[in-house]
Amino acid sequence: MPDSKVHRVNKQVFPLLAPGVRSILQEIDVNTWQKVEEIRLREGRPLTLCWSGGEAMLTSRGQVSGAGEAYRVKPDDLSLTLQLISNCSLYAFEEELRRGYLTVPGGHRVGLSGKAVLEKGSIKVLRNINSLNFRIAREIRGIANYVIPYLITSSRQKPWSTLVISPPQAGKTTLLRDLVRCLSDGMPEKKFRGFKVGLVDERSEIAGCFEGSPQMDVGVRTDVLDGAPKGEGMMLLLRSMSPEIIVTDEIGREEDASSIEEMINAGVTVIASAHASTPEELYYRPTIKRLFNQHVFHRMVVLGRSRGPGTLELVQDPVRERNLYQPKTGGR
Amino acid sequence: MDETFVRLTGAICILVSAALWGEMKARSLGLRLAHLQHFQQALRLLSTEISYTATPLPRAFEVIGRRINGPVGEIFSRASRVMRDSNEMGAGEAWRQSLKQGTGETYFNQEDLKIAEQLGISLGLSDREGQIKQIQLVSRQMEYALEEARQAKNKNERMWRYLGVLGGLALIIFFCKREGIPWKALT
Repeated sequence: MPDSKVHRVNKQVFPLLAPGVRSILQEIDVNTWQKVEEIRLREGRPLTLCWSGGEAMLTSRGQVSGAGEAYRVKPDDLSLTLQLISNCSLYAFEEELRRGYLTVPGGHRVGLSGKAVLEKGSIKVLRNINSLNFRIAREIRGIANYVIPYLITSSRQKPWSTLVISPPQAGKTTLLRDLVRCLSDGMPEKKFRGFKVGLVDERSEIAGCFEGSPQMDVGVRTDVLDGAPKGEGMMLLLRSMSPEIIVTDEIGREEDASSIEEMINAGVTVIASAHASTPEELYYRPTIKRLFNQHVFHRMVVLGRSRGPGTLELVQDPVRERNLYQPKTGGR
Repeated sequence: MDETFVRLTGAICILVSAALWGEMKARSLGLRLAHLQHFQQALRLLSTEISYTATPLPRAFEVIGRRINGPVGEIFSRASRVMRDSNEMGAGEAWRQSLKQGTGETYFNQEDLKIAEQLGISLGLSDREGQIKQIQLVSRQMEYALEEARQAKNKNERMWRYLGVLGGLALIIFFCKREGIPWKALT
């Protein structure tokens, strides 16, 4: 399975890079690719690979070096890469240019930064792109297996509503994706059937939709609403797709909270994620605090990086205020 | 009798080829005008494709290639194929390459080609507004070239035809004089 990541990068990411950059990256060995999470192209600055807790600047022969000798990304590299990403038509991605990223086949995301053009005080479009960040999508099947038993209890027909929290890059999205797949496909060996899952993927991160079709395996009973605002999207799916479970990423705004309340009132299980390192941090966020006070979430899953990204740190029942899982060694 | 026949044939050959040369010259003026008009039409189509449906360039160029006949359409079709097949080239480069390959087929002069080449600048590299502006810029310059071509056609088309025939006649007379043939001997 690890080789498949290298294979995916080769097949899906390399064709999108300018030939100059591509030939450098082709020199990188397989072991490095295993851990690489980001490829960063900044105009006039070193070509850099990033992973959690490390980075490497590359020379024009693909060797790791200091900033001094590193290959500096040329403006032509950037513009050609942009053309290759956008099928020679950046103008067809105005919505993406406004949001600052686009999703490419394979579900990888390319973040963009440049000059923002404003209209009525908000960003209308990005021009003169000077930084690109390829975030390589991880698809780790089976990562949800450890969590599933806490979400489903034999006394109840449905999984509990769950909030997954973690600091950035600790595997929230990866876990959420695998949860969606498991809940949607069902797991006969754990004796539960598949559920109808509605996935509101505002930032195309979970399903990695490219032109509307999911690039990641999100299960057989999943309906993906790609690019819709979470609040509105949840309501739409509730009306149109009769989901049993609604899944969404990174909640926090007022309208997200009120939509989630609607879901719970309609008897739909909600599985969501939020940025936070510890459960305590959440209580400073009024919207999420309100959801807890209303006993919306019966399970809280905390991820961390203490033993690599995606380490399960804690599973809690916030309603009964009980810890269901806590590593014996004490994660941190 | 035999000699007269050879001379007569020679004279007719000269006359016909000179007239054809003149005709060709005259026609190239008309063809340049037609190709420039095709190009303008293509720009209008491209504008529409970009501003209303944000069609990606490879597809938009393909549509244009199908709608516009002749070598101008072919330039767009070829650029579309280049963009689809290559993963080393942006739209601008694909356009320039295709234009270069099509130079022999169109009747564009150097100036026209320079204008057409400008379409490649920032092609596919800016938002809709930027693209439309660039297309308009090229289109406006094309309009001047078109006006010039129109005038050249009106002014010179007939001239080339006459020049062909008259030049042919002049050549015949010149040869007759040089050979010392009284040129009435031809008739």
